[in-house]
Amino acid sequence: MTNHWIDIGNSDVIIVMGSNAAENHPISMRWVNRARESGAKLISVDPRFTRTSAVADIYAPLRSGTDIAFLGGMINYILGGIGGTEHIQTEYVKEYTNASFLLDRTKFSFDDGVFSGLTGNTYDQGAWAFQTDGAGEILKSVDGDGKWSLDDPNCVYQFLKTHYSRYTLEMVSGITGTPQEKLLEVYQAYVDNCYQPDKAGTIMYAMGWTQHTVGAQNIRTMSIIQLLLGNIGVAGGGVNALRGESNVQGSTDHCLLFHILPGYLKTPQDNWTDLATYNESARPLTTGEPRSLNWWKKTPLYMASFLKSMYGTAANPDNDFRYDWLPKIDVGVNYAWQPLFDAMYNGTVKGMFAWGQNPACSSGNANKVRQAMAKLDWLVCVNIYPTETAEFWRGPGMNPADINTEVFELPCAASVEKEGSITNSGRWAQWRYKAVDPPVNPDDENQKAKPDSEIMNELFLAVKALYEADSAATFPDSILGLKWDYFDGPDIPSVMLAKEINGYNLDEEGNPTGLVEKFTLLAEDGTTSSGNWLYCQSYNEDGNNMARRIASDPATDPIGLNSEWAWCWPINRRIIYNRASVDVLGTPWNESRRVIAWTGERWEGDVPDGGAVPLKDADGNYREGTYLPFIMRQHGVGQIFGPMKDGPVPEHYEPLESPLAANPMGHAQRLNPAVYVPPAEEMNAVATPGGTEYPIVCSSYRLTEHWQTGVMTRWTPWLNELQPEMFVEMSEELAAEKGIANGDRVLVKSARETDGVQAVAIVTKRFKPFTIQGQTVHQVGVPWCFGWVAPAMDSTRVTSGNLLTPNVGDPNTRIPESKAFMVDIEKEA
Amino acid sequence: MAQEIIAPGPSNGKSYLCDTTKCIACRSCQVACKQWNELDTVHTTNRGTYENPHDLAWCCWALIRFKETERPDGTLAWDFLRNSCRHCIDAPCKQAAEHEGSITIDAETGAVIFNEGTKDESYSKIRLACPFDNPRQGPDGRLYKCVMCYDRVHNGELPACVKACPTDALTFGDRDEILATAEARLEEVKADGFPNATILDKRDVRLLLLLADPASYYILSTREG
Repeated sequence: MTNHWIDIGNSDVIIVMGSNAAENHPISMRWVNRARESGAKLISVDPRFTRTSAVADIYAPLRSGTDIAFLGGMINYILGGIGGTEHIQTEYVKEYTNASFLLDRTKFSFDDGVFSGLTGNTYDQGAWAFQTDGAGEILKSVDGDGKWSLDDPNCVYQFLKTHYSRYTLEMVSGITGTPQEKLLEVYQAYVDNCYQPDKAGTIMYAMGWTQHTVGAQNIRTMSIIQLLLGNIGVAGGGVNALRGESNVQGSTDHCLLFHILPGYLKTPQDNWTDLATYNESARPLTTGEPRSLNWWKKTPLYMASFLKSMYGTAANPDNDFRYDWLPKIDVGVNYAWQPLFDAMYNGTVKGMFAWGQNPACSSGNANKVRQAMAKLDWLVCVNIYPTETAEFWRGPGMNPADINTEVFELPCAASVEKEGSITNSGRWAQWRYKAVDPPVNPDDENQKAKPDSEIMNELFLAVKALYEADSAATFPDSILGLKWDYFDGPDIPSVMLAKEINGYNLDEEGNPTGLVEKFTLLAEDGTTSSGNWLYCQSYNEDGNNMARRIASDPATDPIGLNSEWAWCWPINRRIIYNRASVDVLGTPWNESRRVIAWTGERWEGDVPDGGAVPLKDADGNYREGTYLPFIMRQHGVGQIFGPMKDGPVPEHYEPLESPLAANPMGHAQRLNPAVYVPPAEEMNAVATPGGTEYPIVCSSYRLTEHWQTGVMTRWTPWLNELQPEMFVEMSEELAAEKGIANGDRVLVKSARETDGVQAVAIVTKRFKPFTIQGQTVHQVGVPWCFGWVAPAMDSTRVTSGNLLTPNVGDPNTRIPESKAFMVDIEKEA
Repeated sequence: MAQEIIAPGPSNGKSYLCDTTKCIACRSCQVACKQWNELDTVHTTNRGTYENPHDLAWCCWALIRFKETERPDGTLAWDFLRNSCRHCIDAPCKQAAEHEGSITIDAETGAVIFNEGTKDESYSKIRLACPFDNPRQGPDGRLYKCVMCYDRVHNGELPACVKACPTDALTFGDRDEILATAEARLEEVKADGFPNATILDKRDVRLLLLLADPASYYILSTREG
C-alpha cells in the first residue's frame, strides 16, 4: 500500500476491483464503512457478485481478464474521449507526472498491438526513451510562457489521449461484457468524485489483478488513473494492494523473491563481477531531470551496510565487503516460482524446503507441481499442520510405491508461540510477544515445535559443520564467513535479529558502538551495518519502535496517521509520495485532510518524502536545489509513461486461455507479446483460444472461512462447518443449459485436469452470462482452499482449484494466470 | 472507535444493535459464539449455498442467513441477517414455561436464560412460543439458545460475537444508549437512499435488527425461511 488501512476511511470514493475486500480482508471494511458514513461511495467491480458487492453502492460485472479494457475506458473518460469533458487534476499532472515529457517518435511507436523494440518476447526499452536536449535533459511540452503544458503532439499526455481513444464504451463493453450504461455509471461515480484537488479516491486491489498475463499492467492502468486524478500521496488516495498474508509485506521487504536482496536492492548477477560494477548497474542514474532526487542512487550505501551485516569484520572496503561471497544469478535466467518447479520437474533441482507453504494446493497447474515433487530426492515441509505438499506422495493420482522422494515434516511454532515482527499491508512493522509456548510431545520433551528461526539456526550450524569438516568443500567462504551471532547474544534471537536488520554504527575494528538512528545515516565506507536499509530506524537507540502502541488523538490527527503506533517503512512515513499531497507552494490540496504542510520554514505532519522544500517560493518562483516529489522514481515524477517488461502503457490483451480467438482491439496481438509460454507438452496443456472444448471462463478465489490453501483452517471444525467442501458457482442460465440443479455434484475440467475437479454446484443469480462480441459467454468460479489431507485424509478427493489453473503468467513477475482460464462443466455421473 | 468495556450496573438492561448495512456475512460472530461457549460442531455439507449449518441447533446459537433477490429495478441484492435469540423484554418462552426457574431473565442485562430445568419443559411448546423459532433441544434434553454471553458481560466484557465483529455491524451496550444509536443510524440509512429502512420490534426485543430494505428481502427465522 502507498497508504494504509485506516487511511481508507479518508476516501471520497472507493473502488474495489481485482479484490474482494469484504470476504478476504474483512477488517478493511471497518475503514470502508467509516468512509461510507462520511458520504463515500463504494464501487465493486467483479465477475461475480460477492459479499463486497452486497454492501456496495454500485456493482459492475466484467469478464475475468479484461480489467485493462475496463480501466482503459475510464482513462478515455478522464481524458474527455468519453463524455467530452476532461477530468484531470491539471496542476498535479503537469508538475508531478511525466505527462508533459516528449516522446521520441522516431523510435517509439505502437503498431498492430505491439510497441516498438520487440524481439521475440523481449522488449528493448531503449526504444521508449524521451527526447533530450544536448545536455541530456528531457524535453517537455511547454506553453508560450515557458511553463509545462500538455499540448505538444509528441508529449506523453497527447499519446495517452490517442492510445485510449480506442477504448470507447462500445469497444470496452464488447470485451468486458459490462453493459455500456454500467461502465459510464462507474466512470462517473469514481472520476467525478475524486478528480478535484480536494477530493480523493482509492483503489483496493489484490490477486484479482496480479494473477494475469497482464497482471502488472493491470496495476499500471490504475496507477495512471490515480496520477491523472491527483490521487497519489494524498490521504484517502493511493494505490493499495491488499496483502493476502499477515506478513507477506514483511517477507517481500526481506527478499522472499529471487530478484531482490533485503530492501529491494537488486540481486547480483554473474556479469556484475565486483561491487563497483554492481553499484553502477543495479541503480538508475540521475539523468534527464536535474530536479530528481533519484533515491536509488544511494544503493552503494545500502549495499555496503548490507554486506557488513552479512559478513561482519570479514567485510572491508579493500575486499569489496566480500561482495564475491554473495550468490549471483545467471543473466537471462528466471528463478521465479514456475521455473523453479519446472526445474524440479526436469530433474535439475533435487531438493526443496516448502516452508510455511503448500504448493501442492497453492500453485497454478498443481498437477505438474505434484509430479515435480515426485522427482525430488528430498522434501522438507515446515508447518504447523500436515499439508497436501508433505503428503503429496499419497495424494490423488499418486502411487507411493513409485515415489522415491524422502519427505521430512518439521513442526514449527505458530505466530502466537514466538516473538517477532510482522509487517502489514500498510507497511507497519508491529512487534508481537509470545503468548504461549509451542507444543511439546508429552512423552519426549526433545520433540517440540520450534520457531522458524531456531530451525534455521540448527540447519545452518549443521551445514557449517559439514563445510568445516570437509577440506575439499567447494566455495566454503560464504558459509564459514557468515556473521552468525543471533542465538548466543545478550538478547533473545528475535531481538538480536531485529537489531541486526536495523543496523549498527561500527568502530574501526568493526565492533558495534550503537544502533543506527535512521537510514539517512548509513555509510558506504564500512562504518555502518544494516541487514535491511528500509528497516533502519525500526529498532534504534530509542528502543524497539515496532513495539510502540500509542494511538493518536483524532483531534490532533484527524486523518489517523497514528505515527506512534508501531513503526512503518520508510522512516515512519505513513503515506508514501506525500509531497504530492501539497501544491508547488507546499499548501495541502485539502486542508481538512492534511498529510503534510509547509509552514514557511518547515514541514508539519507526516514524515515528508525526501524532506526538500516546496518547488516554488512564496513569490511563485521555482526554487533552486529542491526536488520533485516522487523521490523513488528516476525522474522524480509519477510515471504515466513507464517502462515495464511488456510496454510503457497498458494495452488490452486476451488471457492465455480465452473465449476469443482474436483480440477485439482489432490488432493481431491476441496475447501479451512479452509473455513466456512454455513448450507445448502434456503437463503444460493450454485450451485453444475460442475453442469449444473448454468454452467457459473460470476464475479462482479465496473464501472468508478458509485461509489460503486451508492448511491452517481446514483443521478447525467450526470453520469446516461454515464451508465444508469444494464448490463451483455458476449462473442459473448455465446450469439450465447443462441440466445442473443447485447442490448437484459436478466435475470441472480444464486442459490440465481433464478428469475434472469434484465440486458441488452453487447455482446463483450472482453470476450472469456475459455478452462478448455479440456472443453469450458463461463464467464460473472456484475456490482454491480445499484439499484432501483435511478435514479427513481422503486421496480420492480431487478438489483443489489449482489443478485447473495454468502455470503461465505475467512477464514482469511470472505470477500464474489463476484468475482467468477456461473450463468445462458436467454433472457427475 | 473501539467500544468501551461494558461495566455491569443498574440500567435498563443491555441491548445489541445489528446494523445489517455494515454486515458482510463474514460470520466471525457465528464462530466466536461457538468458541466462547465451547459448542459442538454441526456436520454439514455444501447445499448449494454459503449459508451453513442449515438451521439453528442446540450447538449453533447464532446463524447468518443469506438471501439473493432481484429487486424491482433489476439490481441484485444479497442480504445477510442474523438469526439468534432476540432476548424479548417480555419473553414468550418464559411465559410458556411450566417449571419455576427453568427460564429466567438475568437481572443485570435482561438476557433470557435457559437453565438446567428446561429439560423438564415441553420442547415443542417452548419452541412454538418463540416468535423467532430459536430454542433447540440438546442430546441431554435441555433447551439451548443464545445467552447474551452474560458471563462475559457480568465481567465487563462484550458478548463474544460483538467482540469479533470486524465491521462495527454489531454493537452492544446499555439499552437506552443502543436505542438512541439505532434511531440515529436509522435516520442516516433512510437519508442515504433507503426510505423503507426499519428497526425490527425495537420496543420488544434486546437484539435490534436494523434493515435497509423491507423485511421480506431477508430470512427472519426458520419458519419464514
